[in-house]
Amino acid sequence: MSILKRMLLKPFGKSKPGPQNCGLSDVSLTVYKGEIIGIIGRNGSGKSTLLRTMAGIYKPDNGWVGIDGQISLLAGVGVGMNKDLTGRENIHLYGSMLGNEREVMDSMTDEIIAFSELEEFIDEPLRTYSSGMKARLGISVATAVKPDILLIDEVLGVGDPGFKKRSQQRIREMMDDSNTVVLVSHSFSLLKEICSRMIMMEKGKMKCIGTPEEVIAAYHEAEG
Amino acid sequence: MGDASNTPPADERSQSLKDLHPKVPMLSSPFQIQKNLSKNRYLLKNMVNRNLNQRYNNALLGYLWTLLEPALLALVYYVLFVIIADYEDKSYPMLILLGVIGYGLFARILNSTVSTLTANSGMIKQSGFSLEIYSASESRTNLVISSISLLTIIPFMFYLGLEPTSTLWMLPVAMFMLYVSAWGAGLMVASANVVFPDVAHVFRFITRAGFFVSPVMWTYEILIERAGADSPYIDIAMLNPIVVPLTMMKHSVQGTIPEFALYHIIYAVAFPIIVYFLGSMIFTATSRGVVKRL
Repeated sequence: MSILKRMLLKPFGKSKPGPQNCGLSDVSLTVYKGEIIGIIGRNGSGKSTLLRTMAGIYKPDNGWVGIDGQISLLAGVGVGMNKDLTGRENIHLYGSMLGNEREVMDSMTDEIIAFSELEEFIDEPLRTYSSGMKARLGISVATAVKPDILLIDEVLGVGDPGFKKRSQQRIREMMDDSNTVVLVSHSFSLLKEICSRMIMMEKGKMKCIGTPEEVIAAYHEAEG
Repeated sequence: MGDASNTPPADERSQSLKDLHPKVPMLSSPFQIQKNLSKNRYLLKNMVNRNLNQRYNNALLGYLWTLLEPALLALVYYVLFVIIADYEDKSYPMLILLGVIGYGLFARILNSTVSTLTANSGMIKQSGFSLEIYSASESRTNLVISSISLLTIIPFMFYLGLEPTSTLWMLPVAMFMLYVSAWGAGLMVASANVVFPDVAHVFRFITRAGFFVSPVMWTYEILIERAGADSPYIDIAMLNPIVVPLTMMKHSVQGTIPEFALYHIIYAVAFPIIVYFLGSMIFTATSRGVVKRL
């Protein structure tokens, strides 16, 4: 390859993992319909990268990601929402970002508002909301539409205890409806309670996969 | 405990799973982008609303600024050229204003598209929707703003006794040409800007310098008059692909048809089409690959 060609094409090719970019390698995983899978690992181990690769945000340098059904990623509370729009307007904005049509959002709005318990504030601009309220709104939208596959990145622990419980309840309902959930969390008690399988990531690789008890034990063992 | 391998059956790909990153043939990229935009039109509409809201909602006069800004500019041009400099051509301030609106549309779309991936990196890393939606929503926001700004031309037309004629068709066509040229050119280098952030600086400079070599403060007719109709400099000046659309904008409200050489017209029409095709092909092939560098 000529020097010029190398200079021009190399930057668009394979990326090198850095502190902010944990590259994945040799990850092979099948998630079956109706499963709830938890991903654990230390910071920078590649949990979020794996989730984003599943969501189609990162394109693997090698390998392949395939899905069957509508996929939604719930990550970063309030990402894409606008602080000057009202809660109601943000329901439509965020809902459309998750791939939903106007008709779906129109029919779901009341239920989303009720679930978030933000009836009093729903026509106020988002800038007047606390971070907990924004998170409640975000989770209410993302889980109301019931995508076939829901990916959640460390946002289930938001809100007051009552809301947390209801969020977990909704995830369970999704499981009963045969929806598929993959979630990243540091809350082992939550994962143990709702997951059917768990994965432990380490340095961009899948260290182990198994029942929640097995994987959590392996994590504690690795941590010493 | 299971080990870390959970390999799917080899034939699973072909059975029911959809590849998240299917290979798009280069030549179908321009159509694929349009298909994605059409599929996500509700999202696009919401994002345009969000962009407009972000720009004007905190201002006391809100959306009125889309009209006030060009109106105040027009006032400045009028005072400068008609009252102080005593120009004979009373339509000159209006022609400058049309140039400013048209050129502003081109420059804003170009610059926002060049930095579309870097400017939206936070959202891109959290949402899996098509990457062209970010630049398309920003470009359409600018198109809406520029279209509203054009309303400030109406008082000028009254003042100059210009009645709307059939030549007004050139106005939307010219704006569309500017829109497509800027968006296509921006898409061509948006991925490169992730790897080499200098690209955005270069384009910002180009659009600043381009202001002077585009018919904003001057007109095509002044160029012909000064250089002579047969001058080779005319062909050089016409290499600038926005000379034709900006001139069309000016003539559309004057009720006249500009007299261009046929090959200048062909070039001006072909430019946005070619640039859009190239831009979509390059963007589709490279944009998803550079996301991990954001």
